[in-house]
Amino acid sequence: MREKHTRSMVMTDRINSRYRRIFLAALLALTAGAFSGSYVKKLFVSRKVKKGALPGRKAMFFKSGI
Amino acid sequence: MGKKSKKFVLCDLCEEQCDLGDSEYGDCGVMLNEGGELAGIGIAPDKKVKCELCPKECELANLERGTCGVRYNAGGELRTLVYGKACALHIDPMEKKPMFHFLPGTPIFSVAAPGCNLSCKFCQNWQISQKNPEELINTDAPPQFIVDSALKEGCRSIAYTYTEPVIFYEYAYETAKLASENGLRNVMVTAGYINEKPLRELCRFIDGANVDIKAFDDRFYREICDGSLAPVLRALEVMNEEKVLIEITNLILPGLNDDMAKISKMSRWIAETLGEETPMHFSRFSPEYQMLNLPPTPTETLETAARVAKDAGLKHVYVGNMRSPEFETTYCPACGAVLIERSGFRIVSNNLQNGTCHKCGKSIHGVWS
Repeated sequence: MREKHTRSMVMTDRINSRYRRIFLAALLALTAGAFSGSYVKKLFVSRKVKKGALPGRKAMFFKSGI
Repeated sequence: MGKKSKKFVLCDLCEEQCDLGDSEYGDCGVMLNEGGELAGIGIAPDKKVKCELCPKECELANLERGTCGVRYNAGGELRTLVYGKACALHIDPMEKKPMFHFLPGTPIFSVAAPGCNLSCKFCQNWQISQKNPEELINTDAPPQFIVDSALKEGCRSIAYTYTEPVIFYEYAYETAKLASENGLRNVMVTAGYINEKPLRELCRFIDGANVDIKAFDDRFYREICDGSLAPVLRALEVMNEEKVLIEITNLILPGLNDDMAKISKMSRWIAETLGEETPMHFSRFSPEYQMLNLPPTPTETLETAARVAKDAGLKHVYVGNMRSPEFETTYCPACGAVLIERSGFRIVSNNLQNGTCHKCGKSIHGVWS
């Protein structure tokens, strides 16, 4: 006799499928994160505003406001 | 400054080379992409700056760099990108600078930061002098590190060399000051293309300088080096007034600055203005950078130039980048005795006695101890 496909079984299939997707997405995100650590760092770190952190150092011998 | 795409802007102000998306800040946290334009927090876009370090006196718009590529206008404030950024660190023999009348046979701690305010087509160090700082791998080497390293390695002096110390002025100035306080001597190897005021200030801590006279010809300076002769001659006069021991180098390029009449004129000027005991070095050119079409200088040309300079009144004339026992040796200008015999960068014998000739006792121009 052919097994009856019950509602609960369908749900189980769906849940399994969702977990699989979540697991794969997390794995993908972790892999991408590992390879783009510098970018992630840049994304968060670079947006912090550090006043007076202009590249370089104040030079000598110049005239301003000409 | 800042190459524009539709939304992204590449900030090339420092080594980080941040590619900034719309409204994104660079790693410095100051520069940002403001609608496709590079901008900075607290940077007033309309304030111009005039750099007064060298005779080019670049007038810079906001975020624009000078011709040296290392000094830029940050909203009305001039900033240097090479302070404490060494692109070359090395211990050399003093004779390599070349300084033949300055602590002979001693090692000298040598430091360079990227860039130059001239752009000589024959530059022998173009790989570091004709680049912007972000194009090179630089070491963080603040003044204290340089001085500590020189002392640790047993060097008695520090050289600001390889590129152009004029444009890493603040770095050289503070290192030289610290070195002087620690009993070290300072030597500058330069093209002398600098304004009088900053030069006098720097000379307070400089003991010796090897200055390039590229040619005794303003046209050569303009066409080959993007500079001019007069400021170099003025810088030499200033250094002489400030009691810096000066040695002159002239790199001879075949067909371009090997006119013996001009070499004679230059030698007479040196003898009359700086003194006839000013050491003079004629260097042999080897094809480099944008002058690969020229052959190396014939050795006979250099020896002829050396004889011309002697005839013009100079007492200590040498040739470099080639071997010549006659013109590698220091002789007493009074009695002709051999004082220092050299073989390349090596001292074979040193007969000086407390800076005087061992035979006639004449005091010899130089820094000997």
